[in-house]
This record gives sequence, structure tokens and C-alpha cells, in this order.
Amino acid sequence: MIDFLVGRQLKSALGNPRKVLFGISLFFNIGILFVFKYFNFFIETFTEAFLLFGKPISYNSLEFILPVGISFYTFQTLSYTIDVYRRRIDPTADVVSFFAFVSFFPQLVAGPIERASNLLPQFQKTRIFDYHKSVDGLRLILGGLFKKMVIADNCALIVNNLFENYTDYSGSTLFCGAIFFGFQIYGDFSGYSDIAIGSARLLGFDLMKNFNFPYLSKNLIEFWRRWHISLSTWFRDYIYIPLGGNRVSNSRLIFNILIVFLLSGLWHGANLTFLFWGLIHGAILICTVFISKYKRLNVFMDNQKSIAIDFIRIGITFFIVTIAWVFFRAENITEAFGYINRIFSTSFFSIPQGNKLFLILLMGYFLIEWFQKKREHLLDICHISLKPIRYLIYYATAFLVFYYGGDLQTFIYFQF
Amino acid sequence: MMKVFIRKILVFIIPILIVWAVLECFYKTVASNYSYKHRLISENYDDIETLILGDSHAFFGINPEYLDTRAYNLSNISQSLYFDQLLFEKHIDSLPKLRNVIITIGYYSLSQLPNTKEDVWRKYFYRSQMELDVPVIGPFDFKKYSLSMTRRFNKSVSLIHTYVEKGTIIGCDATGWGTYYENTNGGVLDIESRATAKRHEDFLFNFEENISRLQSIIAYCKKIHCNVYLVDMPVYEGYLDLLDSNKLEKITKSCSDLAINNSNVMYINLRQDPRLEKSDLYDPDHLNHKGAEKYTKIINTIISDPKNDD
Repeated sequence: MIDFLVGRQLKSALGNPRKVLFGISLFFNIGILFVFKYFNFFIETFTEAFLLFGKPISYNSLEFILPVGISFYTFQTLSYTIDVYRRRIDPTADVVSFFAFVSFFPQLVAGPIERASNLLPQFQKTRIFDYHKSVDGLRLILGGLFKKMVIADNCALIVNNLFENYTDYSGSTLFCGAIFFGFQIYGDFSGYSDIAIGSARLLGFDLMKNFNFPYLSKNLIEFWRRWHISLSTWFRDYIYIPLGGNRVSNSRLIFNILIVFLLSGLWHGANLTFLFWGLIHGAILICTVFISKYKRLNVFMDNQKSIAIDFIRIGITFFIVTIAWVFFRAENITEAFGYINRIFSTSFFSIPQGNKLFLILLMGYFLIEWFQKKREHLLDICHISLKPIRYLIYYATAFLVFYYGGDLQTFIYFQF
Repeated sequence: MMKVFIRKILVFIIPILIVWAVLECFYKTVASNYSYKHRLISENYDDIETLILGDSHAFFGINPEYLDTRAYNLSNISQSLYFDQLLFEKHIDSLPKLRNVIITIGYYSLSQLPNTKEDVWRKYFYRSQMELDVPVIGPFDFKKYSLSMTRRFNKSVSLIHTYVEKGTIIGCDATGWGTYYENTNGGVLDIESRATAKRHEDFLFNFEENISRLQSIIAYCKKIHCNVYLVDMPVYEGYLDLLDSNKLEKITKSCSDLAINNSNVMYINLRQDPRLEKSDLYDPDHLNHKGAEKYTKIINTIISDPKNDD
């Protein structure tokens, strides 16, 4: 309601009152997010810092239940206010449309984080049933269910066991565990996004694409263009570019990238593990940016035509992303470093324990993505002209969902 | 175009609906442990003197054949005290000769909450095939109308496969005793103990709800002059070592208190029984055929002893 009212006033306000109004909106949005999500983290960190200097202080932590999806809809409403403030969009006068924009059910709890310029006008125009769009919506939902129930939920069982008992396993097994988590979080989150986008499409709404085969990225810059696109573009448009983007000095560029990735880590949760995850991505992305700037070092950044080199680049990017996932998944920073230490021990070169067939099947899934990489999504098979083949693929996917769906697991991103 | 869309969806889901109908028909017509036990207890109401309740420890571990009295084993895999109480209340007034009620108490029996993961599909089978009124099933829960929706598709396919292969999916004999944990040599008990202990650790210490369920059963039994035997079945020591000793102590104390405070209750603690051999066990916490025979005879000796009567 505050954002709606502020937006209305921003239309006519000029000068300082305009800035005050904008400040009010930022204060409430970020304030609510801070209190619910970060207050305890900061107060505990400060207490520990004081303790380090021999000055123990007492504090009271807040016992709140974190509202589901708070990070998603806070960022969505923030984007509305910022765009209105920058006069990129006109504020809406329709309160129902505004509330629908903030609480649109398919993407309310885990995104994609929509922009008002894309979603808001869609509530105001008349929607007409579109056959092809609806069919594609169903394909997205089916593909999303496959990713979530078959890939993510089955990986989760292995991952949970490995992370809980990582001291019992060899480095190679733990590395496989990190790969499984990479597939789990990808299947879980991109599966949810596909279901959300598909459901919205059935209702006649177009939501933005959130994933574009990210594990086929050839470097980390590309990875962030393909992974959680709605969040990475949000940070690009509202943090990175206002800070000066890449048209700044080298030291400032390093600062800008690090700030964006640390904030991205913090957005995921108030835990040092997420900050480290952001730091790793930020640090390697800085290296990637500088490598691409210097032509001599640019061998791996150029667009090569060799599939073999492409695969090597994809492999290196996947390896980096996989190692960084350990920090994302670990319960605390000690566990994360313990897990990483065990991976990079001599046992890394041993034969991994456990189910290797599933790992091979996941690599098979990788190949399917490779063949589909120029398509819109996993089940975008409208180019197959033979109807029976298309139906066979749909039924096979449905069968896999019903038959191999793992034990029900909560969506990982619901906690954010 | 919308009509075409709806028509195509309907055509697409027809094969799925057919599969669903076949599965539903299978669950409704083929006898399971639940429907089989319900039918047999109903047919033997007038003869039953001993009623056995509990989870898999009773299901596989107490064979009514070796009890002197005419007994029926109404226990089932993962049957919590919540369902023990519901079953007891449903049948008790129809059992005129009942003298003994045996209830097994395992590591998690007293702390188990109703409607957990274990009950996620079982509760519908109790409702549908054992005619229980199960309060944890909500009025708008559509699964109560379709048993095939309650089980995972691969489990249903596996059950159909078993039925085609063996001609039945019933896993117990006419006395209700679970028959498919056959004799083993106990070779992998140490390996299994760790996983089993981890699976059973619920970190719950609140016994209040389940103790009050037991008290309710005990009070009714007292009224009809019936004895209640709380039996802690024997388990592998390697498994026992991995369990929380404080919780085990609390279980012992709670059951002992029930026995001290109620003249019709006896606590038979066989948890660390020295007579247990590795070859008696199917896995760390379940007896096999040999172990079931041995320990049912031991339980029989205890409950037949006139010194233990009143």
C-alpha cells in the first residue's frame, strides 16, 4: 500500500519532496526485509565481534517466522518504486492491478522477480485465449515437474545424506555430492520457475524467463546471464549500473562487482555461507572480466568453433559453480570448509562410493539440454513435425514424473 | 480454439485416467494386509482371547501359533499407538473372551506423533480397509476417495507385479503374523544398525500423548478384567548402542510406572535379553521366523504364569 501511494505521489512530486517519498518507500521495503531476515544475523555478528575484543554485550534476538517469498516480492515492489522514481514507467492508478502485480500467485513465493513494466500492463489489458501459448504453458509445467520431482527430489536424498555425514566419505564421493546438489538446486528452482511461467501462460500472462540452460555456460559471465535471470538483471539494473557499471576504473569495477555479488549472497540468506558463495562468484567473475579485457589471455573467452574447446570451457565453469555450491548448501561455514577440505584430499582420486548410475543419467540429461540449448525450454519440441513422436515424449515425461518422482521435498527457494 | 484445447487435454489424459482406474480397481478388489486382518478378526470375534497390537516388531515378532490362548495379531508395519488405540476401541466390544492385550513398545513408540511420514498413505488404508474413523484425515481430503492416489505410482506397480507373481499381496498368515521376514544368518547386522538407528532417531522426548493412549487402553481393559502386556522386543546390541540411552531409560521408566500403577499391566522388557542370538534376527530390530517362535514362546511362558495373573 505504501509503495502504491508513494508511486501515485511521485508522479507529480518534484525536487526534495520527491526524494523524501522515494526514501520512505526504500525505508519501508528494506526495513521490513531487514527486520525479518537480517536483524538476528547482524546482531549476532556484532555480539561475536565485541566478544572478540573482550567486550561481551547482551542482546535480544527477534523470534519471527520468516514470511514466505519476502525477498522476492520486496524486490518486485522495490523495482516498481525505483522505475517510477526514474520516470521509466508511469505509476498505476489501479490499486487492484498493483496488488495483483505484487501478489500474482504463480510467482509470488519464488519468482521470477517481475518488473512492473512487463507485468503490470498485462493486468490492465483484455486477455484473449491463445491456443499455442496455452499448450506451451502445459509443456513448461510438465518439464518443470520433471525437473523438480525426478531430478531435484532424487538428488536431494543423496545430497542430504552426504552433507550430513561428509566426514565418512571420500573426496571423489563428496565432489559427486556437490554435483548432485548443483542438479538439485537447478532442478528445484528452474523447475519451479517453469511451473510458474507455464501456469501464468495458461492464464494469458507472460512472465520473464528465469533460466536458460545455465550449466551450458562457457564462463561465469555467461552463467550469470543464464542463471536466475530475473535476480541477476535486477542487481544489474538497480545496483551495478547505478554504481557505474563497467565504465569505471579497474579498482572501481572490482568494487562494483564484489558489492553486487556480496549483496546477491546476502539476498539468499543471513548466513556467512551465502556471503562466501557470493564472494567466490564475485572473485572469479572479476578474474573472468579482466581475462576478457586482455587479448593475450583471451583464448578461453573468444567464441571458438570447436565443440571440444566448448566442452572444456563448460566443464571448467561447471566445476567452479559446483565447488561454490558447497558453500550455498552447507549449514555453516565450518561445515563448508570441512567439506571442501575433504574434496581436495588425496581421496579425490578414488572411485566414488554410491550410485554411479544416477550420475551417468544426470550427464545424459545434460546432453538433452545440449540438444535443446537453442530452444525456449526443455520440452519445447514443437519443431518435431511428427505428432506421435511429440506425444510419446509427453507421455514418457509424465511416466518418469509419476514413476521416478522422489520423496516430496520443499522447494529450496521458498526459504528466501 | 479453447474448445480444441480442452478436447485435446481430455484426449491426452484418457490413458492416464485408464491407468488410474486400473490401479483403483486393484486396490479396491485385491485383499491387502489391512483388509485381510479386518476380515479375519471380524470372523473370529467369539474365539479371540489374546489380542496383539503394535508395529512391525509385533507383526513379525509375535506368532500367535505359539501362544497357549487363541490369539490374533492385529499389529502392522509402522502402526503407531494412535492406530493401536483406534483399532482397540473399534473391536474391543466385540471380543467377549478377551483376556490379554499385548502391545509392543519400541524405541519410537512412545514419542511417535500421529500423522507423520509413516502414516502418509497408511491412514487411508486404515480408514478404507479396516473401517476405522480416522480423525487425522480431513473432511476435504480427496485421497480418502481414491487409494491409488495415496501411494506412489512405482509402489503401486511393484504391488501389481507381486500380485501377478505370487497371486497375493498379503504378507501375513491367518493369525495376522507377518511371514516375509524369513530366517537369516545375521551377517550384515552391524552395517544395518547404523542406518536403522539413524532412521529411528526422532529426538522427541514427549511421551505424554502416547502414554495417555496407553492409559485409555489399560483403563478399559481393567474394566473388562483383561491384562495388558507392554513388551519391549529384543533388538541387536550394536543397534541398541547407537540409540539415545536417556530416551531408552525414559521408555523403561514410563512402562514400569504404568505397570506399578495398574494392577492389570505387566512390562516385559526383552530389549537386552541375553538369550537373543544373531540368527534370531532378520535385521537389527526385527525377529525372523526362528526368533519369532523363540520369543513368542518366552512371552507365552510369562503371560501363562499364574503368578502374573492379577
